[in-house]
Amino acid sequence: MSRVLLTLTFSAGLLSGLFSTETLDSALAQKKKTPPKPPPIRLPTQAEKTEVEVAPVSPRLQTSAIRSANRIDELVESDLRKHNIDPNEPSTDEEFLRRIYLDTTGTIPTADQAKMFLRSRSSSKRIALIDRLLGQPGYGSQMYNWLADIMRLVDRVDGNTYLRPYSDWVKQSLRDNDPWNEIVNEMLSAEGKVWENPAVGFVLRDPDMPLDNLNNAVRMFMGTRIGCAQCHDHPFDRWTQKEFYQLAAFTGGTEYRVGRNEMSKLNNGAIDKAAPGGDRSTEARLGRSIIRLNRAAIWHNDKKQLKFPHDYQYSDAKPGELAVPAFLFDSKQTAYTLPQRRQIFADWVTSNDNDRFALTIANRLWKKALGIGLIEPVDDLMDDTQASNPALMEFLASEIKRLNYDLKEFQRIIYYSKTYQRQVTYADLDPEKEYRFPGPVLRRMTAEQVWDSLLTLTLENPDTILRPDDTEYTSIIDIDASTTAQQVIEKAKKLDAYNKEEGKARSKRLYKGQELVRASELPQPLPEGHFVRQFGQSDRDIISDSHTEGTVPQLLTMFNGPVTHMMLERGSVIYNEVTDLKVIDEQLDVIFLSLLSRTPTEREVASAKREILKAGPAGYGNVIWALLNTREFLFIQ
Amino acid sequence: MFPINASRLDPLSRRQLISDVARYALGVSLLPAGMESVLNAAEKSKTSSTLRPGGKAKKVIYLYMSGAMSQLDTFDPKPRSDVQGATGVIKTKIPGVQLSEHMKQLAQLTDKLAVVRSMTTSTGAHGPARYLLKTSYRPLATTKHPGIGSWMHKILGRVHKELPASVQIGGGPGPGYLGAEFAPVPLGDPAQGLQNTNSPSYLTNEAFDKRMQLSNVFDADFRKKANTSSQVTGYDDLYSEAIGLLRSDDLKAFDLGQEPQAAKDAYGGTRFGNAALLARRLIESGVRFVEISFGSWDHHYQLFDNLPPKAQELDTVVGTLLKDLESRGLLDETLVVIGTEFGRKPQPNQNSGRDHHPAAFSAMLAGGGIKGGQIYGATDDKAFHVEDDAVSVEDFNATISHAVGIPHNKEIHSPDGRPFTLGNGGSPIEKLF
Repeated sequence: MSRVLLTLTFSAGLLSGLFSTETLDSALAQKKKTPPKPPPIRLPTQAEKTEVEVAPVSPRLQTSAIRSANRIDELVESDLRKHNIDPNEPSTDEEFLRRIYLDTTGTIPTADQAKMFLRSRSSSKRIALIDRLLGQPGYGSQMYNWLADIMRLVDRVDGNTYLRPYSDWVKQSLRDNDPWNEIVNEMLSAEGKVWENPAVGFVLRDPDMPLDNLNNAVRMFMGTRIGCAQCHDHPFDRWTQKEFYQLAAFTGGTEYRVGRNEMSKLNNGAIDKAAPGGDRSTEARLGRSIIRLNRAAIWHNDKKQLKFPHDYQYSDAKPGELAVPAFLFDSKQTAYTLPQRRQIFADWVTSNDNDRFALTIANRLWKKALGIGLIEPVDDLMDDTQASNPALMEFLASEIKRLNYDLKEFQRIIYYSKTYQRQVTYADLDPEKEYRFPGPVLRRMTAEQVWDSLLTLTLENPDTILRPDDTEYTSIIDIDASTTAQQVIEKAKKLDAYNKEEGKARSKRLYKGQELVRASELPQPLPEGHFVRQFGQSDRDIISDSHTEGTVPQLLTMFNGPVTHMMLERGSVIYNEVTDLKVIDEQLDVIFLSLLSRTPTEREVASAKREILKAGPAGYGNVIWALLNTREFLFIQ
Repeated sequence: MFPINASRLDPLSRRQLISDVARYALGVSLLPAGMESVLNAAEKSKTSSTLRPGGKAKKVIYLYMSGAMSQLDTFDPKPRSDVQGATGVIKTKIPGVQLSEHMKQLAQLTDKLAVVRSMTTSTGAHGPARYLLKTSYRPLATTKHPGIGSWMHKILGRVHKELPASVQIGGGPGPGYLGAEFAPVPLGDPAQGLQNTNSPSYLTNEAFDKRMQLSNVFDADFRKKANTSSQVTGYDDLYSEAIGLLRSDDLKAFDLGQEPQAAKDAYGGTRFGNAALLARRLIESGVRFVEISFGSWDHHYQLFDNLPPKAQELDTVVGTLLKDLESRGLLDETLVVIGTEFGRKPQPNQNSGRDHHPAAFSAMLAGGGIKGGQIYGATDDKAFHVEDDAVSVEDFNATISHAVGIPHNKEIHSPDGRPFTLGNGGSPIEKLF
């Protein structure tokens, strides 16, 4: 099959482009003379675009980042030598390219991006790429997905607690690269309604469950599980139930509903009466929900204190007795005042003196880049917990402090390291042995990475398609004590109109019922049957509950689902790139670069050509489909 | 069939090890699996000598009445009280026992039913009550508990190797701490069957195989490099399972098109009816647990207008299902359950509805070794309080546990080492066996 022959085939038969039919798939359908097709399905290319700004890395800090990366490598290599393990080979440019795109921006690169990097002869091209990607919009999206899984970010807890402003605030903080200690401190001490002070969402996430929330906070931020001690002395760790209650006493003044003076006195009856359409009308229903949504707020009540539970079973405190605030690990009596308790707690968690705070975030970020933590599990630290490489763990914890909890700069250092840039370890890890980091470990893409990568193959610059900002929504629903029932009904009408507009705007982002925006811009979490959930996104009820396990329903989706066919539609990124070219070898290069970030081998070229020759335009669809269904596509080398 | 995960293949994690050591130290010896059942049996006979053995139910069809079904207007009418409202009653096959007038078919089937009129729960909020009903635990922000289907999958395994152990039609609890391997397979519209099993018409098996061959060529180098990764090689099995499923006759289990029109008509042709018919097909083919959600029963408004069609649909569907199962010889091995998260306040509100009422409500069990012809427990003259034989949600689930052959005190441990039982300490209702 010569190139000439192929070129001839196309120029003669399909002058208007390679895929003269609606889709690559349906080209085959036409060939078989099936009945007329339904109206063509269009990709949502008309969605509104918004520019996203993400804090860039500082060129000034490059030298010190290189120095720190070298230190990481020294510590890893000396540990490897000590254990007689050879480090893995350096990764190829292709491997590195795909990995760094996925790790920093959450998606595979486009063919153009891949070509640009692979063709560069610059000796510092890896560092340049890392620096550039860390300032891309995808960085914010990727970090958000990572943190949303750990922090259980949701748009709503229930019908009465709206949390999207909190979720958006976390995302914005990551785009702005705010220091981690400040983010956490704010979440633990914020007061107000969520649309006035979004950081309250952290506590509102567990309404009326202060003990669970504390337990979650300590696990997320300090990598420590004290949950067992909520009900009894911890069976495997040192924590007693008394200590749990003493720590919880700091947050014992937390109130979950707006104060009496700010609270609207309106009840359902008043709204129903004011609604012209009666209690079953839309404005009555929305009006009642507006009232409920305005009740949720976090504030600190100086007078409220935590008591030991009525069934407290130990002799060191009495049931019903007031719990006196005291920190963990601290034998001394803690200085506090009732009004300042909550802030004191937030300051303690995020303090440089709290070693577990720095260590936990450093270890979590190490795991994010290398696939496994220096300490596993990352959130079950005990007094005798030893990192697999203690010197490295200590160095990383000191680095995050030195960098004032700058998450981006810290990751930059890891990505600069030879350790990160080595080939992955493919083999299963021996659970009996500590992993010594001869390289990163092989990972399957996260659910969000799979989704976002499919989107990259389909839509131009998907980072600019955002879910609409919710400030209009929150300004409509916001009421205070002076708002009358009549005004609430007016707001309900506006809300109804707003919802309808939103529905229309959303329909512009749909393809076969799927909203084509990045995973971080979709509803949080997605409903159960959604592609992203199927591939392992958590339902966000509990900490770090996502998974990357393969399942049969996932494969059925890969075979027959709309999402894995959208890049075969006319006007998709890959469709356009392939049809812009006329020479089949170049086309195959683009297809392979788009999906696997590498060019095809000779054997692959031969097979692909054979397929395309035989099947015509549909052959391109078959090649793309075949590549999507490789393990190489799903895994990150 | 469903997932693989290298990390789950790991031997005992450190924490599991510690927890096992702790159990050991506490006097619970580490017995081989076979011995454990002996131990459980011994324990059982010691603790409750009057409890007859369960385990007849190999499979379960769980009908969840979403939104809290009114007891007065279904299984526990109080015709002589002033709260009964417009809902009338009918006689049943059990002398002196009446059901609401909407339960016409079931009234004729009471010899097969065990109606529990003394259910009681601890919360009147839908979400937490539903969670409690389905997992026996209160929702926590720190742990997710599996539902009954995942429990059965974990302890009893699959009946059929190609088909999932548990299926949910219209949602239900996830696998919780058991992990994705034990996740029920969700179905949306029962008439559509299993998601993404319809290939485009042009994609013949032959064309599909070509694509797979091409894929194998493209993937050859990577698979060679990664042949020591069980997560990667595990995909080989998954692919052959998925393709096998697509082509196997077993997929027909999900296809209502295989049923004669008469069967669809008998089930009423509604979404719920279709779901129940599909459930029967799935059970027959070797699925262990099918959960169907039917709602909403949240009748705060105009209950006497809105509830009757719902209740009549329930009656038709369950009546047909029981007869269908029986005629196929499946009723003895299939437990059919009607559950709901709580009841309705007897006194109608100003909108002629009934509000939430956790103190008393009804449930129903049939088949799977349950002794029929029984009304278990009783409420007061307004169906407000439970008077006799209160059954908590935990007891109810312990009863299901016993019926399916999972000893109600059988413990499993979450990855962080906490012990759980299916009924969370509840006791099976002895009289039902």
